[in-house]
Formats: sequence, C-alpha cells, structure tokens
Amino acid sequence: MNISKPAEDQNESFRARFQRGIGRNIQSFILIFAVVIIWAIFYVLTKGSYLGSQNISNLFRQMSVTSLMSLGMLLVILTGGIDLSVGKLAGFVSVVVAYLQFNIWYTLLPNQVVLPAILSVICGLIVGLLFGALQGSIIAFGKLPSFIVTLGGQWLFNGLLLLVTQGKTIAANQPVFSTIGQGYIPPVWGWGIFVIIVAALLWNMFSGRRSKLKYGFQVRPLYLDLITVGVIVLVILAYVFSVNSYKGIPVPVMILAVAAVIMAFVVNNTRFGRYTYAYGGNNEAARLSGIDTKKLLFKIFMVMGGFAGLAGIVLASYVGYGTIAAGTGYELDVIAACILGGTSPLGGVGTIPGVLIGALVIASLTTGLQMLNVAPAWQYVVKAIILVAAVYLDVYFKTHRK
Amino acid sequence: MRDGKVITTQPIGDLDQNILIKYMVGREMKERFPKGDRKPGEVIFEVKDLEAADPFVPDRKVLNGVSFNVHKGEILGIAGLMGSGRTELVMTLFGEYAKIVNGSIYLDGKDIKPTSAREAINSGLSLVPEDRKKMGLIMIQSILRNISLPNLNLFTRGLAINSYEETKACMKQAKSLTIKAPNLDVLAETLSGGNQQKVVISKWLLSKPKVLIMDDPTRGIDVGAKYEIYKLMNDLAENGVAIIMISSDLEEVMGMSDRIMVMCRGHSTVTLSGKDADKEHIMALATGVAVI
Repeated sequence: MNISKPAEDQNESFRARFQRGIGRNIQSFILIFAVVIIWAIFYVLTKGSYLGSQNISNLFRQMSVTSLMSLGMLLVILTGGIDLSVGKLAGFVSVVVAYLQFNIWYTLLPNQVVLPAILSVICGLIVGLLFGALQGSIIAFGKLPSFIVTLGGQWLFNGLLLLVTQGKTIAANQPVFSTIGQGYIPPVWGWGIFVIIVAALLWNMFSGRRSKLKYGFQVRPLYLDLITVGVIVLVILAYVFSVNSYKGIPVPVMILAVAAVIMAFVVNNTRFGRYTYAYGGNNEAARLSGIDTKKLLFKIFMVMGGFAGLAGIVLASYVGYGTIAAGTGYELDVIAACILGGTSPLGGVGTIPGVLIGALVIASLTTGLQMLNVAPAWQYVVKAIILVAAVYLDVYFKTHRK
Repeated sequence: MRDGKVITTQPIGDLDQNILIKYMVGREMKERFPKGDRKPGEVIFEVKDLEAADPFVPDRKVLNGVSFNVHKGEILGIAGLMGSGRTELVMTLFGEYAKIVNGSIYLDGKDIKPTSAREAINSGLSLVPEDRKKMGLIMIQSILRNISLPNLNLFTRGLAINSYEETKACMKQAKSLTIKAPNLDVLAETLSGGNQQKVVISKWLLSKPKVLIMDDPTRGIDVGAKYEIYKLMNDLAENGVAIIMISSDLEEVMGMSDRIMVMCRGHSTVTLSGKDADKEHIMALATGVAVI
C-alpha cells in the first residue's frame, strides 16, 4: 500500500510547512501580496488618507454590490459558462425596487417604513431568481450557449429597465430601506459581532480537530491551527477597529460577509457545490456519475439571478435612486473579479476567497485612482494592464511550477 | 523501468515476452489471467430482445435484438468487432445513449428502463466507461473527489458532506485497490493509466453495484496493472457481483469470462460457455460468417 495520508509530518519544521503552504496556495498569496502593494502605493501617493478609516469603510462598501454578484458568477464560470446579463439584471431589479418604494408602497402602505422595505427586498429577490431561472432553463434544457442567452438577457433587461423608468430617475431614499446600502452597524454591535466571529472560528477549529481524531486522522500541531485562526482574527480585528473609528461596519459589507460564508460552505461542503466543480471539470464524466446536469445548470443560473437581485436591492438603496444607467458595465467587474481571483474560464477551478480578493484588487484600484483624480480614461488603461498581467502571471506560474 | 527506477538494459536478442514481463512486473507472470473460484448464482440481470434507435438518426437501429442474461457472481464477456454495437449496448443499458424502442431489461426481477445514468445507478448498475479520460474521470480533480463523486449521498448528513467519513471511505477503497499515489489529494491527471483505471473502478465499487459493466477495462494499461484488475474482477465476482466485460482482446475475453456473448451488427448472436469458446468460432460469429 502506497498511500500515506495526509502528508502531515509531525516533525516537519515550521519553515518547511510554511513553504509548502505557500506553494499550495501560490495564487492566493500573489493576490494578497498584490493588494498589499496596491495599498502601499496608494498610501504613499495619497499621503496616508487612502488607508484612513473613512476610505477603508468606503472601499469595502463600494465593492459589495459587484462582489455579491461575483459569488454567483463563480458558480457560473466553474461550469465553463458565463453570464453577461448580471449587470443589467441588477440594474433592472434596482429600478423595480425603487419603483415599488416610490410609487406602490407609498400609496398602498402610507406611513409605514419597515414593511415596505421588507416587501421590496422580497420582490427584488423574486425578480432576480425568476429571470435567473428563465435564462437557466433556456441554457440547461434548451441547450443554448450561456454566452448567447445572457447576451440576449442583457438587452432584455435593458429594455425592461427603460420601460420601468420611462427614462426618469426614481427616488429610493426612504428611511429603513436606505439603511440596506447606506447604514452602519453601531460600533458596540460591531465589537459584539467580532467576538462572535472569534468564538465561531475557535469552535470550528476545535470541533474540526475533535472530528479528525474521532475518525482516526492525524491532527496538525495545535500552534499551527492557532496561528491560522490568529491571522484571520487579526485581519478582522484591524478591519473592525478601522471602520468603528469611522461609523461602524457598513451594512452592505455585513450582507456580503454573510453571503460569502454561506457560499464558501455551499461550494465545499454540499453536493450542489461538488457537482458544480465536477461538471466544470468534465461534464460527461459528471453525467455518467449520476449527476442530473441539466437541473444543476438550471439551479446555478437561478442562484446567479438571486445574487443579481440581491445586488440590485443593495444598489438601489446605496445610490438612493433607480436610473436608466443602473448596473451598466457591472458584469465586466464581476467577471474580472472571478478571473483575477484564479477562477479558470475553462471551468472546474476557483474559490470563494479567491474571488473576494479579486474583487478587492479591482475595488482598491478603482477607489485609489479616483482619490488621485486620475482621468477615467487612464483608470481603464491601468485596470486593463493589471487584469491581463495578473492572468499572465497566473498562467506563467502554473506552467513553470516544478 | 519500474517504479521510477531502471531495472535492466539488455540487447533485444536476449529478451522474449515472458522475460520482459518479468522485469516490468517484478515477478514471474506464470499466467496472464488469474484463476478465480467462482460459483455463479441465480440470474440477476436479464436483457430481452432489446432494440434501440440511434439518438441522432431515429430511423436507424443501433441495437437490433439483443438478449442475454448474467448470473450473480459471474463474469460475462461481450465479444464483437468494432462497430458491432458493444459500447452502444452498455451505454444504452446505462440510460445514456440510444432510445429503447423495444424489449426489456430486468434487474433483480424488476423491469427497469433507465433514461439517465442516475436512474441506472439507483437501480444497482455501475459502468466503468470505455474512455476513462473523457468519461470516467475528472482529470483536474483529486483522487478523493473522483472516488466520492457518485457516492456523496453516502456521506451527506442533512445539507453537509461529512468530509471525514468521505476521506475515510475513499481511503479504504483506494487502499484495497492498491492505488499508487502519495496521498488522495493527488490529481487524477498525474496518475498512470492503470492507476487512473483503479480510481474509476474504486468510485464504482464504493456505490456497491449489483451489476458492474466494464467497457474495455484494461485498454491502454500495462501488464502488471492488467493482472491486478483481473484479480479484482475475480474477487468481485466471488463476492456475488455480476460483471459484464467488453473487450477487444479475444484472449482476455476467453481468459476471464465464464460465458461469452458475441455481438454482430447490433444484435446478439449466441452465448458460449467459456470452455467451449475458441477464437475461430467467436470470430466467425462476430463477422456473421457462422450461422447460429
């Protein structure tokens, strides 16, 4: 018998473990390194204000709309497909929600604020899921390429968006509803959430170690697990400390964090997630392994639609109105975040943390260039260079690894 | 070479097939096919007058009257020329190719007509497909993920997959098939053909099939791994699994099978018992020269 699992040697030096860990996640480390470099450059160029608590707060808030969609887009790209309609779908949902807020609930439910906000969220999600399901059914059961179907979808949603707005801007700045995109979690609560996260991480770590022992696997030395948890806790601590010295954790960032944790669980620990990776790796083998691939594809595009709906709700609340330009071009940022984050456009490879870091790189660049008052033309050029260079480096490291 | 080492270099004149195999495998190969001690039981799987239409050309029949049965603990070989409909037959039995227009399939007395691989798997069939790279494996995924893929329902508690149970079960399976790899996280694409095939077989054994269909299971793998796969087939049959094996290698079919079904132009001709079969007879049936 030649399998000895896992390759964890109790006596392996810390240095060797460290190098092996880096080697295994080379791409994530390159990306984190890129974020650090980008932040350092902008920190110097803006004489420190780039990393001020107000800007950190804005940076993460700004990335939340496209990042929410990236979570769904990861699934789509994992299958080897693409969804070009998400920007306009989110835009369409944002004007639908604004229309409901401004015209419908106002007359139907006068003098109420909480109930309309809840109804708006539900309606926005339903619209997103429905149109995701529509596109998904055409792609999965009609066997059309997702590229074509969602290109059509982009036009469809643009048309519907124009129909709803009639070319006008609709206000969506009603109280309660506006906290979804603009609100802050009070600092005291923010610290409470921090404590809960730390407790959850530690519980997760110890229960994982207990299960490993129960099933007869070796556990890593305790200090290594503690270091891993410690690094994550420090990053979250730095973030919470920073935003709390401004106004607190932005509500959309909290929504993104919860959605990301759920999705990270889904892709790694559920059959739906595993089947998605398998389908992207080899759809024929996946089908012969008993996976209902049509239903899977349908579900994935429906989930994507749901995330576009959620992003549309946050977008309407964040900007405070619905306009004809809502969501234009967002799909490109969403796709770029996935690709930068190491998602293979061929399918089968990609992770939630990778996608989030990819989104962070793009948001860091955008806000930094804006702070420096770089002309939009050059912002595009810089982003273009970064995207292509990052993918080039990724390909280079993958082919020259050994 | 063997296991990454140069074993010997000799002039070609000093070698014959047996010596070469001895060096490659590391032991004397007395026999190409291991002897099994099989005691076939009652009929578990039966196909009657199966006719099926080409999925792309509905008027054309790819299967044109196929009948055979398989007993528990038996290895049934299917022989036939390229294009005789062997692969089409097993893919159709697995619900994944042609549309059945006539005939019936019985598994354990139940009439099944799978319309998808999922239905076939649920009723107790498993298929080791013809092309392991295209149809059997997800090359960019680990051994673990490949083995567990059709079996994730076994490890799912509520919503979540218990990865410890998953690893444990897959590890046990991989060990019992002696897959050679440093650990289960190794990607399937880095394995040799024989080990890849063992991964494919592992993933289907974990699902405990009643009938295991193997479409050319030893294609493109070396003699040592072939022998191990033959031994494995014997073990499985001894444990009551019915095995249907397709092979283009006539010696393999004759060496491994208890009975041999010969296909010719989309229909079954006759089922020979293993000891009565000889090459000429099989070839005559396969080419349609012999009248039954």
